[in-house]
Amino acid sequence: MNIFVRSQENDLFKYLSDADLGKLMAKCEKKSLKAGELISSNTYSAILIVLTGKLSRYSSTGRKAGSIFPGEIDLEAGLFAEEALNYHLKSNGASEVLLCPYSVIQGITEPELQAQIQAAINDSLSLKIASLTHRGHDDSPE
Amino acid sequence: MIVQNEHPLYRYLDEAEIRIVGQAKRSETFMPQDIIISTGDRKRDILCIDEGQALVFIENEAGESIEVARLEAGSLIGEMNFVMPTHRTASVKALGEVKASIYPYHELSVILAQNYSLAYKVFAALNLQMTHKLLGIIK
Repeated sequence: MNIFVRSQENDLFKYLSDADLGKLMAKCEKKSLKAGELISSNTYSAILIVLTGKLSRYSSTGRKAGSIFPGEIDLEAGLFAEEALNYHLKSNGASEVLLCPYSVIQGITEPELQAQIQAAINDSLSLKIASLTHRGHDDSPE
Repeated sequence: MIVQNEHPLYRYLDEAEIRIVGQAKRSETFMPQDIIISTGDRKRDILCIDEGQALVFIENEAGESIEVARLEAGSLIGEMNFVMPTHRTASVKALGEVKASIYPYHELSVILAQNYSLAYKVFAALNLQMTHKLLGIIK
C-alpha cells in the first residue's frame, strides 16, 4: 500500500517527517542487550527497533523463526495480539535496541501520523509472513 | 481504537466510513471450482469472502496441489499483496458458490490517500489480520 513515501531509515518510522521522527524518538528508550539476553512481549510492552547487532526469533517450542537486523523491528504484533506473543527474541551478540512503548503508539492522535505508523507495521508484518512462509522455519545458525 | 463490527476490513469503521470504503467495492460470485486468485498473479486487489468457502492451495514441484487452508465467510484474501508489491504466493478456489467483495488496489489506495483517519483504521484492521496469521505460522 504505497500512499506514503519512505523517508527514514528505521522500519517503524520510515514514513515520518524529520519533525515527527524527532518527537517519537524522544519517547523511546535505548537499551543495550548482552549476548544471549532474551526479550519478549512479557518483558517489554514495546515495539523493538534493532540499532546494532542481530537478534533471532524463537517460537515457544524453541524453533528458530527468523532474524532481525539493524533498522528492522519486532514485537509489533503485540500491539494487536489479545495475549502475550508466542515467541521470544534472543540477542546473538551484544546488541543495541530502541524500545518504542505500545502506549506511545496508542497515544498518537494525529491521523496522518497514525496512518504512517500503521502502514509501516503493515509492511513489517507482511514481510515477516512472506519470509516465514517461503522459507518455512529458519534453522540457519545464529 | 473502538471495535465497531467483526468485518475483517471494516472492524474499526463506523457506518459513514464503511460507505466511503464501499465506494471502491464490487461484488463477484464464483462458481464451485472457479479460481479466485492464482499463484504468480501480480494483482494487488484485496478480497473478502462474504458467503461460501474457499480452498487455499499451492503446487509442489511435481505439480500436485497441496491444501494449505480453508477460508470461511469473513476471511480476507490477498491482504499481503495489497501491502507488498509481489506476486500471489498461493491459489484460491471456490469450494461451493462463493460470494466475495473485491476492493481493487488502485481505487482503495486513492480513497485512503485522501483520508488518513480512514487509512489508519483500515491499516490497523489489516495489521490485526496479519498478526493472527504470523502467530499461527510461528506456533
